[in-house]
Amino acid sequence: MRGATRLLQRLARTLLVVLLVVVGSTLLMRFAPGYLSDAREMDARYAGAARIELSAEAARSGTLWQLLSNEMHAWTKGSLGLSRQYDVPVLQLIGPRLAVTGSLMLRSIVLAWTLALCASLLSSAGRNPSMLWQAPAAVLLAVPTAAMATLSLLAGSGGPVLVMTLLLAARDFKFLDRTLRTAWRDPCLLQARAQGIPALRLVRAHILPGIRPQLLALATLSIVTALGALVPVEVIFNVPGVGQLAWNAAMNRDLPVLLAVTMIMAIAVTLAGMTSDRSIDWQAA
Amino acid sequence: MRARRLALWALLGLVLAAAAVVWAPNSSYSNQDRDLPLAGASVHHPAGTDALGRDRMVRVAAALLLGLAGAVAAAAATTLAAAAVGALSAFSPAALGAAGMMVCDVFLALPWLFLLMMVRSALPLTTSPGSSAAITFFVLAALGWPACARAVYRGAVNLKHAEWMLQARAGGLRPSQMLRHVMPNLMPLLVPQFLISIPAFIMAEANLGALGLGIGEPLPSWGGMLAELDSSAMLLQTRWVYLPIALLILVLLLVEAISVEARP
Amino acid sequence: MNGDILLRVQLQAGYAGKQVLHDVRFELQRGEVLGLVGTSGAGKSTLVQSLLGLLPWRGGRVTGQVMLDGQNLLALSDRELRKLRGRQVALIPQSPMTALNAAISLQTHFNEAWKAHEKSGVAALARRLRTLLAEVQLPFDAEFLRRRPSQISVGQAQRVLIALALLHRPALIIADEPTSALDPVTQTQIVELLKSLNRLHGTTLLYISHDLVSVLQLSDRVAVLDAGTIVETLPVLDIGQARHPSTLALLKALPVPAEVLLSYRGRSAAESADHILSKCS
Repeated sequence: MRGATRLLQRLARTLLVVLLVVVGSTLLMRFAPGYLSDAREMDARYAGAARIELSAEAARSGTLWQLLSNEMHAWTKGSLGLSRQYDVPVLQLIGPRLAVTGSLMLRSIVLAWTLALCASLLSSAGRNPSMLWQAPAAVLLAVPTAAMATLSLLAGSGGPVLVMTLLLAARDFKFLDRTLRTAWRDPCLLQARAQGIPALRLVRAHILPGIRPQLLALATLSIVTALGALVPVEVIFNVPGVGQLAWNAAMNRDLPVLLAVTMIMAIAVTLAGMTSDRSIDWQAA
Repeated sequence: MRARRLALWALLGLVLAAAAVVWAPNSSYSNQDRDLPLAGASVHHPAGTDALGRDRMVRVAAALLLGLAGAVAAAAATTLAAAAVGALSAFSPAALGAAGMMVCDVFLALPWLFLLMMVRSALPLTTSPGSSAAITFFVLAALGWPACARAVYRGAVNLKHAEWMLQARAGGLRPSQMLRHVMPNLMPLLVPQFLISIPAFIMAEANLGALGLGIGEPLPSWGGMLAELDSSAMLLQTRWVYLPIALLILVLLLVEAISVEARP
Repeated sequence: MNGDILLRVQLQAGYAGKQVLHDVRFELQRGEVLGLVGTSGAGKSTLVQSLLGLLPWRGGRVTGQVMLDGQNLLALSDRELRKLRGRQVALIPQSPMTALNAAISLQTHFNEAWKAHEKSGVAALARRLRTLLAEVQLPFDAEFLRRRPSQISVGQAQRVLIALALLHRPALIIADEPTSALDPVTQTQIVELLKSLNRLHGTTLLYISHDLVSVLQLSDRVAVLDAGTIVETLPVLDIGQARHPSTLALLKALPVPAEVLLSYRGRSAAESADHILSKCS
């Protein structure tokens, strides 16, 4: 019963956050200085028509209340607004790309978890942080995603999955290594070793149950990092996913599309974060 | 500790060298030498030139200085904001504190790269490169504070219940005096956050710039130089095109080494 | 006591830059209780970890010999040592609440400790637990075993640790200040429990404590550890002949003269209480 109420509380909090995100992003967009300007304004041929169109749009979304109700209407109707670039409902643009992005993210996250878990189990069993494991992780984390993607593309080896896996694995490894090291130092581990329990059982029965909240936090961390790395990877490797769509929209100032994509991502992250305990500060990883 | 000091000296050395290159007489990051695009190393251009004939060495040095300065400024701003919000939330009535943390949650839920892109592209097209640089780092700072604020909030709440706080209140200290007692205790939380934010912001600017959404031309930036890597034709001409990325990795590793605290 | 030496120790141990144990020598005969006393900081926990081969894990170094039944434990590999820990040598720790894993149930603790050395299944464990838990005066009850360490009292936690130590009927038990975290009533009960285990099963006990009172109640011989060396070892009944200043200091700190405490040895706590009350009235 207590578990159910806690879950409901979490759900309520999540929905509230999502609502605030939607409202906040809409406000941010509308009152940004460049919202009502368009590339077409710069070109003399289109300037006149563009200005009329834009003022019509401004009239439609004049007051705050109008804007929000327009937005809600768009969301409930399922079209998520109208793209400025292609003049089609945003949902039509996003739909097919979600599957591509989803598969890329899923594969990278799973591979990264496996890699990071094995590496950190091996590394944390040693007494001091060993250079063998720390150095590659540190270097991987010091390379910007875009650079790694470009280098891999030019070298002709590896693809989007490899680049994202390496990046995520480095981040996960750092977090896991620290967590496991702290777990090994727990006094109850000393007692368990004094009972003669072999190392593998120690990990399975004594360490893993204790770090369950951290593992859940790691899940959220992975998803957030993956989202951050998504755009450069998709753009450089020319993967037809949501990240590429967002970048395209950003370059062409197609703000409705960008807004819709951002909000979908935000909701995804919030839902993912629902499972992990708020008290773990995963950003410190 | 020794590694940390070495890294600090190395970084300072790099900064000084970069400053010397940038402010040497006759060096400019935007002078286009139209006769020598994509040239290799030579006396005039020790690291070659880029596609528009601009000297690479000067551009890389300028990018290093700009990136580092911007990141440090943004990190300072973000840490201050986080400290203010976190401490205020902790010491106000519980409802306000919870509301403050809810706002943090909202910010943390936003995928920062998408938000950066959104804000960056929402800006008018006619921003100058200088102001685009300022805006980029401002946006980074504005999105970076929630994570730190959460940690500060928790630390401040723990302090609120500490023994010495009780003693101070029993002694009748005024709230402003208590703030002076609280701040030194929060420093151990704030300094690491500040140091960690710097490489994070450098990376973020580099990623943004490589996608074309960062600091505008002709101002050199890490992101802009990384975008050069994209056209493989260039790599066939000269190896110097790898200089920016190598230097960036070096700078990031050094800053990370400085921000690592001695752990038991 | 049959003069058969179970444990012969001669070691030096320390951490990087600091030598904690300079030359610790003592012997344990099979079936006896050796009480090791010393003040805080004398090196008692370092000694315990050295004996079990766990000091390198904490960043320390041990040299010398620990002869258990003719085998030098310090010369064995970690793999072989692991087989001995829990099976031949068991540890009762000082702080019961930190020695139990807060994330798993008591039943899981027993399962893991059992499977570490026994191939026979949970049925055999259940049979063993029935007698074991009765000996340590804990309920043999599924509801109790399902609990987590945070849901039982400190006294019960210490009894669970004693039961875990006895699980495989080891030849030697090292009790590292087992009563220092307990209240006086529970302290007496635990000391009585250890006494009865030694008498019933003939388990050899190395009883380490800073509390000379319980040492005098429990041990056959007393060794005094001071600043990293064993300065004096004597049979407990001859404690009045102690000569080393550290031993004399410890004796002076007793609430009543040692002879008075020794005269109550061999009686149970209840008998002693009756005796005192009858004398007073």
